[in-house]
Amino acid sequence: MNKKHGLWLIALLLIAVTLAGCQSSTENAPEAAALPLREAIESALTDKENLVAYTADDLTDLMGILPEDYTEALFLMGSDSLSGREIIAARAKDSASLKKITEALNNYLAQRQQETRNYLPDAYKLQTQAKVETKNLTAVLIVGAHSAEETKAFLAGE
Amino acid sequence: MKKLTVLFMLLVLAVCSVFPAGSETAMERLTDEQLVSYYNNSVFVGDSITAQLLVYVREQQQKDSHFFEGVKFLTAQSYFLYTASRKNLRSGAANLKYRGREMPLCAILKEMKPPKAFILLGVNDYIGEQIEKGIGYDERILDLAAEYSPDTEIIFESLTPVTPAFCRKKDYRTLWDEYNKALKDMCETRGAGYVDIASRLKDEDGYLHKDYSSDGKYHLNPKGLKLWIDALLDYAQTQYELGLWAPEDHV
Repeated sequence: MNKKHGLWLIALLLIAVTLAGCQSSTENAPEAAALPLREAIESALTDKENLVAYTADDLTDLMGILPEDYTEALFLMGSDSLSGREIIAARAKDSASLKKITEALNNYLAQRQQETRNYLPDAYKLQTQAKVETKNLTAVLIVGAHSAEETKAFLAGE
Repeated sequence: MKKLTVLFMLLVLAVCSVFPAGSETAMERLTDEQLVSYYNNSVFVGDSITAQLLVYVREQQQKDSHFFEGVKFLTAQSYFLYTASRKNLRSGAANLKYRGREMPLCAILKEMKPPKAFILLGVNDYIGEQIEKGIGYDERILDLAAEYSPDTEIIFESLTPVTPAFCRKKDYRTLWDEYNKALKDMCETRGAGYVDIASRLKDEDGYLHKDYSSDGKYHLNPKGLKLWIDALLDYAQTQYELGLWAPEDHV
């Protein structure tokens, strides 16, 4: 083997090692990071206008969902609070937290239905059609005219 | 001319001594930031009308995070004054929720211990039709608050006015006014606070002004909710002028 062939061999070896490294790093790479919750929710909504963000305190006071149970949470209310439109989503810390959050959301939905049943028939109808759904560690409750489609679109990215 | 000038100055001095400076007779208007601090850690209790105030406050907080910062809301759609006056939950009716659990108002106050609780209830009870009963419920709320959270000051807010459409079957406008008057009297007798938010929302005939109505009945739109906030700020100013409260930063 002359000097020229030797250099070619070294170059080919380097390329092979680099390619192998790249492939292995792709195989071990974590899944693409999820979008921030608000962005993820808004990309799934059919109408994101006229929604007002409630606070973490509201989530705790109204539903008993505690900050230590989630990494991210969002509570949006229709600016006309009588319409029934609201969106609550949370990324739980672990499966035990997810269980707590899901239970809290189901209780909240039942209580909301009791409030509106004989009072706001349109809101009540939307609430009876809404469902708390989960995927991986995410829980979501969307109340609105297109809640099923919006929930499906949101959870597809979770 | 010199004599005239001296005479004029003496006259000014004399007038000043008879009529002291304005700052000593009329207190200055505090800034909105100072007035809002009156409501720190307070809780607003109510039905769908107060729920609208909650949305309004959260909306304003998206522009100014200090706007009514730290104020809590306890609301339920179709919540009754009668329910608030009970020691126990009312089955088959809307109850307040706190930390995810349905609880009577008095029990929530016991847990929260807010310095002040502002209460606007009675529309769902059609309380203007049963004023005596209504005032009884209000007094019961005061009694329970004194028992469960003695350091909480209770302040009632007047019922907001109603539209002519809401008064087709009965003149609720007059009934609401009568109830508000009785509520104000009871608050004076019992030493509770009373905030009049109704007056500024009325038109010249005493109905809810159409510019402030969101549903043509009794719910308020953002313009009306802004006037509610103005009434709260004025109430805080009155407390300041009466020497009952001063903002922390005020010397």
